[in-house]
Amino acid sequence: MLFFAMLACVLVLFAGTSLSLTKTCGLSGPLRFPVAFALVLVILSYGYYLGLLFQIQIGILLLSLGLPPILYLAFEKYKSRQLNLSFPKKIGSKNLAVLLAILVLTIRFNKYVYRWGDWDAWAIWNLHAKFLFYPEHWRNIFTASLAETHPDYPLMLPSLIALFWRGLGFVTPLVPVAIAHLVLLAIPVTVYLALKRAMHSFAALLSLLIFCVDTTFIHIGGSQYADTLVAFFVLMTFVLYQETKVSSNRRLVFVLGIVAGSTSWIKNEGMLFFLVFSFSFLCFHFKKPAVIFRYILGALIPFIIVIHFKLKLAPANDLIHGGREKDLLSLISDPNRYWLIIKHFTMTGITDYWIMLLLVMIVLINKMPVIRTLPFMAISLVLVGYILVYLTTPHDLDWHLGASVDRLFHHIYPAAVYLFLLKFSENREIRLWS
Amino acid sequence: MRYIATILLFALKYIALKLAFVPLAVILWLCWITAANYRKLSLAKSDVELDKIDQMLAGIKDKLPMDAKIGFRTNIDPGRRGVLYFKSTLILAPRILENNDRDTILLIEDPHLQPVLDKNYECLERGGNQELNYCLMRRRN
Repeated sequence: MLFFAMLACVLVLFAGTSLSLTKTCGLSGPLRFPVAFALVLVILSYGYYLGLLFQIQIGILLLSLGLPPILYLAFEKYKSRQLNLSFPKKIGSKNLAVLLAILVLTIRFNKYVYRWGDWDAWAIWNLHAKFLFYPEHWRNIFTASLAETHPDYPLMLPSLIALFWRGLGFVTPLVPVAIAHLVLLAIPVTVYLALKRAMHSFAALLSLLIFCVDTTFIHIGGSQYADTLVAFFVLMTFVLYQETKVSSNRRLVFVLGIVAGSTSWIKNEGMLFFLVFSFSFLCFHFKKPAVIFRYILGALIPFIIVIHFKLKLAPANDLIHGGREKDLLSLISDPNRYWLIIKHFTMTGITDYWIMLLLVMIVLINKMPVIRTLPFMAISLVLVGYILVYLTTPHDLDWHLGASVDRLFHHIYPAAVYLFLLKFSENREIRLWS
Repeated sequence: MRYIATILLFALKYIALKLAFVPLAVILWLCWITAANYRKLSLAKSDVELDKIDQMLAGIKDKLPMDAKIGFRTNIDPGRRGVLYFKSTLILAPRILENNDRDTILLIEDPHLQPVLDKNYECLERGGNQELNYCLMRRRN
């Protein structure tokens, strides 16, 4: 019974959010569905976390999450005398490509996925979700004895898993699988719809092909880690940013702030992205205080939740804290560490992200003006941040790089594919060689 | 019955009018492979080590209060120790499994390796499967 109530809550949230994106933010067309999907994930995650924090019963929580969209939908129906959710009524040849891509991705995802996922999925994300499943004992995760399980990691994925487990009434590995599946599919669909919206049909089809043939992308998605969720939110941030550039509706900037800020609620790397994106956004819009105000207003909600979590609940992070100030200088001044980082970045780029390297080369050959753009600045700063984290890591550098570089590139990969294809489509005269 | 037939007829008319055949076939194929995969993942043959340890430790979950703090020991090498510790922590959560000794200890042993003997502890509950044995130990007074 509770599960059906939860499903109904999710559905009305999705319907209400997608309708409000059209009515209040002017985001019409099918792109509003992936944006609504991202916002529903954000609302459910914050809702469940705040429910734990304030000891709200699950039934009351679902009611408080589901009632506002029901009232909003009813209000819209009353206002227009006709409830038009404007879901796509005709699924014809125009959407066949995206349907086929979803099919191929699902077939390939099914090959890689297995119960409880890879190491981090059960040792971190599902483990945290298991604690959050128990509303009276969830704070046990923050005891010092469990420091090895990284209780300082943000809780978006664990809270989503725990919420659906609560709805079902039992713990099952199918919930993290379903979430990983949906998030994996959301990425190519978002890139496709965003490029289609910009009238770049060929680039949109090409993006589907890229994601369907990319084994690394599907493999990381199937591992059930939070990295694909970070990649989805990073991509969504840039998609919304591009939308704010062409849309006259400034409320979309508020949504951009929420989505960008929520990246920090997924992983600590998301926090780095949020900081550098916000910095870049401020640099590019410092002459528009109203725009900055809306962005900050949107980002404030996730920011307060993450800051409260980090300061009041989470223990210190193993990479940042630990009284290592004296070691840092010797670590940063060691040329071997730079060489090792360059080696791992290059090897991972060639073996797993050659498509991204190819796209970078096309940009360089064509001398495209990308340097003075916000996405270039943000992604470059993220990469600089990654290098600084590796330089100062207390772990064995070779092991740390080997265990994480591919996943760090995965965070920016869908956004990079989207941005490059958008840039190429805007520039009609592209040479593939000089 | 008439209502159901009317609804079905309406649904069929909707599908015939609004959906082209190929996309419909793709959607049905997608639904079928997704359902088949989820069914496969829920079968016992898809169980991984975590599920097997979960079944093995099912008996002691009821004996430990939710806010219990217990220690963890094993006779297995350090690399594998981490795997067993994290899997046991996930299974026993929200109970706190510490990676050192306490008054109550969960001992997981590989039966083919040298057993852990400690006269200061007595075994309260014992069990196992083909690959691993476990013993919930309490410190002697």
